[in-house]
Amino acid sequence: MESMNWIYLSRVSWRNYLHKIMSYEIVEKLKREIASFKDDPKFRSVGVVVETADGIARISGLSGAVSQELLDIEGTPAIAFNLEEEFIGAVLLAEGSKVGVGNRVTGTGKVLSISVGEALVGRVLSPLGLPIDGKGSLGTGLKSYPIERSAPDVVSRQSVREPLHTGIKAIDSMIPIGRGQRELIIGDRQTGKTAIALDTIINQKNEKKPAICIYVAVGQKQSKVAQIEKRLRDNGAMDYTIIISAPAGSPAPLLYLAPFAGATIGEYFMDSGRDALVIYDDLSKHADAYREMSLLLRRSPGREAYPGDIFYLHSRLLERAAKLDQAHGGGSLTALPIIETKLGDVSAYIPTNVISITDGQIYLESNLFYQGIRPAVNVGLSVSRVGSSAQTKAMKKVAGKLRLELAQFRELAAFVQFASDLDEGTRQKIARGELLTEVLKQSDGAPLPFYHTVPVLYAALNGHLDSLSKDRVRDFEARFIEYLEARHREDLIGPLANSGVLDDKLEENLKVAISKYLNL
Amino acid sequence: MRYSAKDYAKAFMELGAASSQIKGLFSAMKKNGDLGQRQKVVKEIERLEVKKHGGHLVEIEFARAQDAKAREEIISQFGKRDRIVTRVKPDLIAGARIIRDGEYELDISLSGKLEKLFA
Repeated sequence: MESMNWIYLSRVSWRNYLHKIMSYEIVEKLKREIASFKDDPKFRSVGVVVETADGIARISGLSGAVSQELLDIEGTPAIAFNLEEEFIGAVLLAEGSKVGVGNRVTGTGKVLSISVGEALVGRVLSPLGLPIDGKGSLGTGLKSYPIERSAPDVVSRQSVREPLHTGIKAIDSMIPIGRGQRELIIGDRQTGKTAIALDTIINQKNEKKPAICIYVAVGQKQSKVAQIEKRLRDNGAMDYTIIISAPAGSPAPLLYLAPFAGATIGEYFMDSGRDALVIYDDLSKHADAYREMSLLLRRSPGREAYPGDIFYLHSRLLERAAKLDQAHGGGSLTALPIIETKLGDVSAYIPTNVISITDGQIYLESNLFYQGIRPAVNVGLSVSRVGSSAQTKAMKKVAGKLRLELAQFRELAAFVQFASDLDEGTRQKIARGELLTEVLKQSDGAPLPFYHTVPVLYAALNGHLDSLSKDRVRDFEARFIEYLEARHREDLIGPLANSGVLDDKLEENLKVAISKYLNL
Repeated sequence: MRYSAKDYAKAFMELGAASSQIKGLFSAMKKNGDLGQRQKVVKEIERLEVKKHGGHLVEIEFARAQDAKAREEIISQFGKRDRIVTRVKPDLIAGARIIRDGEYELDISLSGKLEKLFA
């Protein structure tokens, strides 16, 4: 027993001894640090804060500052925005800023940068790249990338050629998005804009080459961002997703910076030869934040009180989306900006700006949403200007006539009420249109991989479902996919998923599978 | 604020900076509702006046009050055309900070060193 006590005591003393050694080590390290500190005082350019309010500071002096330079106001970072004859208009990058009149300002000679790297994946970050999810620091091995960076030049780009599947039947079939494309999601509030973006993120796990996703929440409620994070985590999508959150309560400069931080992180992955997808949710609030900043900086207001460079703000952001050529790693950055319209008015200033910048738009309509057509994509007004060349061959083959049939249906839709008085051909077109509309409906949060969408659309477009009533379409889809996965994984789904091509042999197998299933 | 302090100071200097014009300057500032920035205007005039004579406006902030002898010794280090203004700023802890023409700073204070050490 005594010997046990001795062991115990000695363990305690050993621990104390170790503890002491460790504390001494820290003290020694500190001493070394202080001893090796060398200060070489010399004259440096300084300025003084002469006015500050609402996240903006006017600075006198510092005549050598350059536009967009990162300034240091006694520990508070700021960006030089307006270089006037006598003052510098700077935006403060800290919440609840302690900046006051008389504070000293020094230039850093650098532009604002954030840390980027693999460690960011799965994290929720502030627009300054700092973790805000309570999971500790980002660790070491990160690179520093400037927030404002010029877009890849013409020589380093190649045309969009690889598909980026959203998992939404209506989009993948008729408004295909390619890797490196900029596709706008536009619509009124509560029409499912964010849902499309989130489904696209979730669907990446079904992809052979999943894109690293960056979801940028600009001016969203904190609770909504928390819900989004939970939804992505529950679906296993946080394994390849980064969230940047500038919530509604943040100062305007942070809301302004958030999309640029998202683009910067996306560029890191693009530069390393991978595919990245960045979602800006949404650029309407981003434009509002920029307007607020500009008015506080006393810049001249233009149309709808937005400053004159509002177009340039969004064009330089969205130009950073690109598909690089093989010499530059072959990576890509796809951008899905979101714009919220008011009462469906797409002719407002910001919507028209972003429509003209992007390579197409997915237009969501409240009317369709309330009719139960979800996703509420208006196929007539939606377009993808470059995505068709990137569409999976199997999808292209199957969905080629889908847009046409739906367009014919829309023309005849007004006559639906008089269906009994119409000729047989018109009745068939209306019935087919109604069936296709039903097939294209999809639940929120249930993206379909393209190798499931292709057989379903094939069956619908080739008349195999004509005898099916509308209310049985969804049930058919679920069971048919289940059947294909169980019985035709080897001869159909597998090869289709691998090659992305629906060749004659696979088409024959698909026909056989459909007839077998319908005869069950 | 209709005009900036620099505008008033510049106008004052262009008119010859005579003492007879001081009253006119202040009545103009009062008329424009700019009296609130009179301190800035005075400082700006001081800066322009020094510049006119080919010197610099040098502000020296000490952590502690200096005796007259030490102060004279420090001032003698600068040119005769320079205007030297000294003040005490205990925030510096020790040492001093020199500001030239309001734009260039030489920080040889302890607080500045600590800031750099922990930056």
